[in-house]
Amino acid sequence: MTPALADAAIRDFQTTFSAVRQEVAKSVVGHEQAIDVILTAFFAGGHVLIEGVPGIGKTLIVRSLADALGLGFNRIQFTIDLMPADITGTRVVSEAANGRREFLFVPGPVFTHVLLADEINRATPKTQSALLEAMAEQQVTVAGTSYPVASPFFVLATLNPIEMEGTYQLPEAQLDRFLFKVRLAYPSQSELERILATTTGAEAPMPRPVLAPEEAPARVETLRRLVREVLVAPHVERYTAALVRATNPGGGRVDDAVERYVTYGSSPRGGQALVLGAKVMALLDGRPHVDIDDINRIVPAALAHRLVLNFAAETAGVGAVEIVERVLGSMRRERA
Amino acid sequence: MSERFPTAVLEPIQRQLRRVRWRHNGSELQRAVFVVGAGAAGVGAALIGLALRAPPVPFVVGGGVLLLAWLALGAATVWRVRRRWVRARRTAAWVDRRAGLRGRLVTLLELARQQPVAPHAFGPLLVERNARGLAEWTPARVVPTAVPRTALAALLAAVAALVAVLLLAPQLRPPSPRLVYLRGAGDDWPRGVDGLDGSSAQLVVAPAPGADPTAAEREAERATGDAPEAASIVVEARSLQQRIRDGVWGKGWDDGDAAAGGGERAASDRKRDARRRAGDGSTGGAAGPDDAAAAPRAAGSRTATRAGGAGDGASGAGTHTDPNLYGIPAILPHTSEAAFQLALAARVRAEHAEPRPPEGPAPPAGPDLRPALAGRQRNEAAVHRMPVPSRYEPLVRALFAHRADERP
Repeated sequence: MTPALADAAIRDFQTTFSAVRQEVAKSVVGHEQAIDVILTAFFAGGHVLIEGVPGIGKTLIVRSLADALGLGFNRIQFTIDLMPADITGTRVVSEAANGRREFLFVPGPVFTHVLLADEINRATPKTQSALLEAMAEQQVTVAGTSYPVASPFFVLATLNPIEMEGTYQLPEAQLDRFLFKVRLAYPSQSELERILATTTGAEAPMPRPVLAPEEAPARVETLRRLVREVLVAPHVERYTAALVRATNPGGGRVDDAVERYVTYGSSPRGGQALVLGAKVMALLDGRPHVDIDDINRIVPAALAHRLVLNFAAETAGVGAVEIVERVLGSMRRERA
Repeated sequence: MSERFPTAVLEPIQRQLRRVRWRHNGSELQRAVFVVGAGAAGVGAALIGLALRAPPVPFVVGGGVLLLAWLALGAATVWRVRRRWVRARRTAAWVDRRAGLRGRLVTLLELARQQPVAPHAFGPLLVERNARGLAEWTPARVVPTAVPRTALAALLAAVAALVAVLLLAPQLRPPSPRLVYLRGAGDDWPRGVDGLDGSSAQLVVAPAPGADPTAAEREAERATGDAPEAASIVVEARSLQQRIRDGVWGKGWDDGDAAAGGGERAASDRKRDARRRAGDGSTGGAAGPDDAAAAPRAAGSRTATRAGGAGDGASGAGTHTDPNLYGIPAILPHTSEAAFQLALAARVRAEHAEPRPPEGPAPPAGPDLRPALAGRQRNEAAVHRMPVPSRYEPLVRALFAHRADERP
């Protein structure tokens, strides 16, 4: 790719990204940072776990995103009686024209571009695990047959942190498959006023698709490939690896808080999430290469949900985000 | 060098990187030298000031503190240089941070060090941006001041302070041992030495307090009690103080002197030195420029020794006796246990202040070989030094003082 073409590709990425952001912002009031993180994960090819109290716009963000991108959208409301087949699809007996009966696969709601798994922690672990294969390998296996999911495939799962009764905590393996975890904060006074004004009128603002629906999947795939082309120098890789190792007890230079409060640190997927997210950040900044600051910017969203804390952390009221911030601080000091 | 990136682009970048590194490291080295030099000059100035003005114990304490401060400054400077020194391998990352290139430079150079695996789509763009952005991180931009001005100003200020102390050193000279003259031979001895009026310069009394190394050492040893090591440090420090004083004021600065003012004192020093050298000119020794006139007179005086009248000194021996003929007087502190040593001023032997030029025929050799002995011993037999309880000091000084017009 010549420098001029590469420059143009970067500008195109920036334009698309900011256009989608603007469209989503038409219907979603506030949450700018959360939207940026969600879009970053989308273009990096990952999935996002959204945590927030009810009624602050989790579902609206996801729906608006799908609309703005011009991609297909499905929603699954997770409940305790939801079965895996309700997600992946199932085989039904069908009679062909010649009278012969055969099994026919009826795809579930997972076969879409943007999937909202609402209140994912209300389903049983077995049902939650039905998403694992789709999220990690972009395919679903039913009765020994694998069916590829649509591309691009983007899962946004929501968690309600206040109603924990009758919920099942997500298994670590499933948590690890989410590229980022986003916490939606309660809206401020001015944001709440704007929400009231925009949602109680005769016409609710709807985002227009930035990408034409027929070419949107291909465009998104192109942009995702562009993200993968961003250069990462060895020193950035070294830094990222050291950062991920530093979240693990006994992983070299460890902050005191890690040693005291962390049972298991981030997996290598955390490092991948950091680099992929940083690549998107670099493109948004108009650069063809990743800087260490890009990594640092994405650390809380990429690593916090991968840490397994111990009882001491719970009793001390120390959260994963706080520990990750401390590790990041010590890494920054060491680098300075 | 990797084939992934063109050498024509990488070489100018690496040359410029070297220039930036040299400029920065040179600046850091200069800063370190300036700071350490400023510290040395400042400590030197303070140490000389202390040596000239302070008593031994404050000199030891102050000197120790100054020395420690300077060592701490040196250690801090070395630590700072080590911390801020930019190594070749880290230069690109350092320039990146300093010039705000957001990793552009270090990414290019790090990737260039790697073995090429696959072509990068964004490689040409990275190369092109680096080649175009060379002017963003020129040595003058990254390291704006090659010479650290603050450190240089500190060095100049400290050197100025040192020079000022050296220039002012003669003014800092403590008062010489006092020799007080009283007018009138018939005057009674003064009731107290302190009450003497210096303007009536006729009576010579024993020198006033001055520095006596041996006395100071004894005092220091008393002060430190049974700690021989501490006493040794004090003695060494006192010796250093003495050497500094000798170096600044010249050897023998603490000899007794009857001159009153600074300029007169200096002139008197020269005269006294000339007299002394003339007196022991036969013993040899190096002669300075001031001694040039005195030396021939000293040589000729041997032939004119007998030419003078009774009571006159020989021409080579000088006409005034050194007040400290029997050694440098010392005064100890007036404590109940202390004793002071009285140095007796020698009698005045002649009226004239200069050695008499040789005159008349040379004296026969015989009497020189066997000079006639006096018929009897003088009534006043000099006792060179004698420890006397300090409470008797005024009385003893008054008793042993000599009238200026008294003849032997």
